[in-house]
Amino acid sequence: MKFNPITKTLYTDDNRLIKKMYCPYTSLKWSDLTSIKGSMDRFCAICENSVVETDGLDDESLWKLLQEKPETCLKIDWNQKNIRIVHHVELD
Amino acid sequence: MLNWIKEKLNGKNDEQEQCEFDFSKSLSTTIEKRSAWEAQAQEIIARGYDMETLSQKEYNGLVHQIANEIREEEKAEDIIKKASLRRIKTLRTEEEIDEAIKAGYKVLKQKVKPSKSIRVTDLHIRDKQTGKIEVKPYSYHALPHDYDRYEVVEQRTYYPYTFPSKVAAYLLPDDLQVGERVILEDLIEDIVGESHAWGTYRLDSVEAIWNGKKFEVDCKSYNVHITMG
Repeated sequence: MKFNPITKTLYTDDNRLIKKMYCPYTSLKWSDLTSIKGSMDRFCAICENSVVETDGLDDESLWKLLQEKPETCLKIDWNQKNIRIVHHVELD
Repeated sequence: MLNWIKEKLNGKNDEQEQCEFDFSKSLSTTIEKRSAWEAQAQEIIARGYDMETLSQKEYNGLVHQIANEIREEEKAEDIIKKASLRRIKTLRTEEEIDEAIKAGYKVLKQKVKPSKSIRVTDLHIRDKQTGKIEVKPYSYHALPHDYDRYEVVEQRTYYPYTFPSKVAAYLLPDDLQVGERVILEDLIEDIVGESHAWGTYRLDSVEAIWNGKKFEVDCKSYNVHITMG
C-alpha cells in the first residue's frame, strides 16, 4: 500500500485509490479505542463501528473491503511494514 | 541585544513550532497510569476479598483483571469527553472571514505562515532504459537495487502544503469559555507533528485550550503517525 501523509490518502501499490481518510473526531487516538477479543481491529464507541487494523492486510483484501463498504474506518501507522509513504501518486 | 537582533532578522517567534510525539514521555505516562490502575485494583481486592484465602497467582490474576476493567472504564469516559468537545471551524478564505464578520460572528484571524521546519524531500529517479521518471520520497531504499539502470536526476526539497489564502481565522463560538478545551479541526499554525528522513509533517488538527486571547495547542492530544479515518 501507498499512503500520502499530505492528503491522507491510501492507495494500492498499483495506484488504485483505496480511501481518502477522514475522521471527524480528529484527536481520537488508536489507544482510545476498545480492543476486540480475537481481532486486531478496535471498536470506536463514538461511531459504534469497528476500525480496521491495516497492518498485515494485503492490497487486494483492503481494496475489495472498501469497494463493498466505502464507509469502513481504517487505521494505518506510517511505520507499518506494508505501507510506503509517497507524496505523489499518478492515478490510472 | 542578541535576541533583539534575532527577532529583527527572523521576526518575533513566540509561537509553538514543535509538537512531535514524545515516545519516552508517552511510555512513562503509560507506566504511571498502569501503576495507578493496579493500586486501585489492590484497594478493591483488599476491601472485597478475603486475602487469606487467595493464592499469589489468584491475587495477581485479579489485580490484572480489575486493573484492565478500570482502564476500559477510563477509556470509555475519555472517549465520551472527546466526543463532547466543541469543534472549532477554520475559515480559509478572506471571503469566508468577511461574511462571518458581517453576519456578526466572532473570529480570531491569524496569518498563515509556512514553517521553515516543515519540508519534504523527493528524489526524481530516471529509468535509463525507458526514460520514465518516478518521484519517490528521499530515503535509503528509494533507489531500486539495479543501480546501473537508474539515476537520480533531481532532489527536491519543498513545503508540501497549499492553502487558499495567507490569512485564516478560527470561528469563535459566542459562549467560548476561558479554559475550555476544544478541537481545532483545521489548525492554522504550522507546528511540526512528525519527522522522518524524507520529511517533516504538520499537525493538521489538534485539541487546544482557549486562554481568552488565543488557543493553546495540546501536543499530547494527537498522534500524527497513526492515521484513522
